[in-house]
Amino acid sequence: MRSRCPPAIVLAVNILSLYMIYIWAPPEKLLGDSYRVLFIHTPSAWVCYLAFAITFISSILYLRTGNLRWDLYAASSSVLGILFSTITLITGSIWAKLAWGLYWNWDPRETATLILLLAYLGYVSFRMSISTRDRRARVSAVLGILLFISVPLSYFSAVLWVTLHPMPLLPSVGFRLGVEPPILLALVVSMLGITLLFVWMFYLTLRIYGLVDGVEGYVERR
Amino acid sequence: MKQKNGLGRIVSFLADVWEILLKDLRLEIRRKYEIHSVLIFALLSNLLFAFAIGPSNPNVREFAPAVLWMSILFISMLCFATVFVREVDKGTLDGLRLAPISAQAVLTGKTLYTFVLMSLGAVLIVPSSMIILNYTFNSDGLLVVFVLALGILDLSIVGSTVSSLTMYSESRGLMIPSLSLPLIPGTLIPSILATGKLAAGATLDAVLPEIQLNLGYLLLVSAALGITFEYVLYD
Amino acid sequence: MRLSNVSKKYESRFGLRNVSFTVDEHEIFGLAGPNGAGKSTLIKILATLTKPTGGKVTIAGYDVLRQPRLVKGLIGVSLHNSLLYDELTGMENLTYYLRLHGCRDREEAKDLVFHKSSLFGIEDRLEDPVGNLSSGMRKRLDIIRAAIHNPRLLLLDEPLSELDSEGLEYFRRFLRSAREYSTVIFSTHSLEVVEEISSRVCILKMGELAELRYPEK
Repeated sequence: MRSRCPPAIVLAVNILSLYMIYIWAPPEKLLGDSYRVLFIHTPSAWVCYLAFAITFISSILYLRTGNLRWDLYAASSSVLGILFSTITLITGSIWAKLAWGLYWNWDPRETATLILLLAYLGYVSFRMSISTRDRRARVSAVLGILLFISVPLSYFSAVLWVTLHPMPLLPSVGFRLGVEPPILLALVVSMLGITLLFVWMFYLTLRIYGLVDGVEGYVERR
Repeated sequence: MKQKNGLGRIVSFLADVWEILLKDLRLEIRRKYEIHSVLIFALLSNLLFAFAIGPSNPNVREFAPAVLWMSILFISMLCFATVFVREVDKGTLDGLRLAPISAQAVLTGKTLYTFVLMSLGAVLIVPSSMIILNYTFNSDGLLVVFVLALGILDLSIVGSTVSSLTMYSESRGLMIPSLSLPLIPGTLIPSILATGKLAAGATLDAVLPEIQLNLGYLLLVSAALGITFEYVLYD
Repeated sequence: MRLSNVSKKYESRFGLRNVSFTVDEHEIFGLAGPNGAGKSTLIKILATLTKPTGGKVTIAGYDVLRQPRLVKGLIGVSLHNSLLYDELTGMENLTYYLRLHGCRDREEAKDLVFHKSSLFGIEDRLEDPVGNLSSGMRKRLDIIRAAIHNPRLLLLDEPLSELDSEGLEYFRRFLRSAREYSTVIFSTHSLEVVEEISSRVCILKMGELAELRYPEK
């Protein structure tokens, strides 16, 4: 992750994936063009879980090693996680509106992702409220671990909740997307594109946060 | 000197937990106004929810478990605010840090203290909401108590942990709701569901999934804290 | 007890810089120096409350960083602010701390608390809530709290700050008895008192060890 990820490659893959998403992939039989939002939704969802998992693993590594670099990783990826989970939720609701007629369906995954987003918003504001760097790193690492293990718990509770309160508006047979080879290929490419975008943004965020830390240290020394 | 193994270690762990719990309860009793405000708040929140639903709403029974747990959640926020922050404010936290006991004993003691305080509130809320919202539990009384206690215990462990985290934050108590609420749905939803079923007269089998979820929650969170809590307590 | 090259570096400056010395058993070791010299930091490091950024500290052979819980069983600490709960009585406070140190027998604990308090002349105030005591009384009680479990090493940060002349007299008497089972390290900014009371004096300046000497008596 420390090695440079040349922006040119990221850009090229993403332009290719945009082309495949919007032009190359054929319209879907039932939904026409509107299904294309899934090409953004699915990769964003994957990336937001990836980001929060990085925060989780970095938190563990920070507690084990005490190396502040891991804290930088945790902080940077939590912010990106927030960004991508927001995108996931927005594109998800657009898709839900198109497929099922409602923006919000209390789908367990949807619900768990929303709780996750709120949790990490709390995490970020918690970080901002502690000024001593070591202390902030240590305590927020514990929080980072706790938040992540609460995800499956929220998810299973939501499953239980939804099975008890079925949405009356939902068709009992779930809508299934006919996965044709071109659609699958476009999805793979956009997965790759958004993942690369994430890696690049992660690298940039790391640098920015590193610089901010450096500047803060310098100001204190003065 | 405490260098024991096996049983001896468990016994001294429990004794430490007991000391901390006893000390906190004693402090709480000497400071009656705090219990008073928790209990008054419990009744008021109950009443406010009833106002929000309306007196003759035909679905009032369906709302009952939600109202009950929301009221418990409300008082829990009050209880969480004092758990560790008070030790910091009074400068006595170093006393806990200096004691030759495990960090887990401190957390367990604090969790049980929160549990007792919240249970006290629940003892008031449950009957009052039964009267105001006109519902009864048609299940085994013991099962009802168990489900309520398990739910409150889950809330207590999350709450005392969050309270311990926020003692380092410059905004202290303000952070407690925004940190604890996202952690809570995993236990609150099963608690509400199980309570609703019990009000309708469910048996143990019917509420087993909820109980399992809440037990799983307790185990998972305590396991994570068993490993990490010393990083929180010791600066 | 041995310190070697202990440093505490804050983000911008040193709180302590390469401080080394050894304290023998039953010594009464005074730490002197102006405000901000690093006395409190040193005591907090010895008490496991602050982690040194460099160097090694051992107490009775135990590493402060690696075996903090074992060290905590050996030491008694009184810090700048008292660790007593205002709402509890002196007796409740002291027995609580004693029990956390593993003394579970109630009668034995009570006797011990009574005995220790008589050294400081406050045995008749034990049933008052600590919040009702004057600051001097509270300080005496807090010093007793630190010594309640007969620690091998007693660390006192500014024990004299709140004490009047009577309290000082009691403190001397207390030190004499504490010396039988403990090593005492205490800090103060008053050089006069430290020379009079202690068997050895360490003077800190700007986080560095300036002088280590035996007071002339």
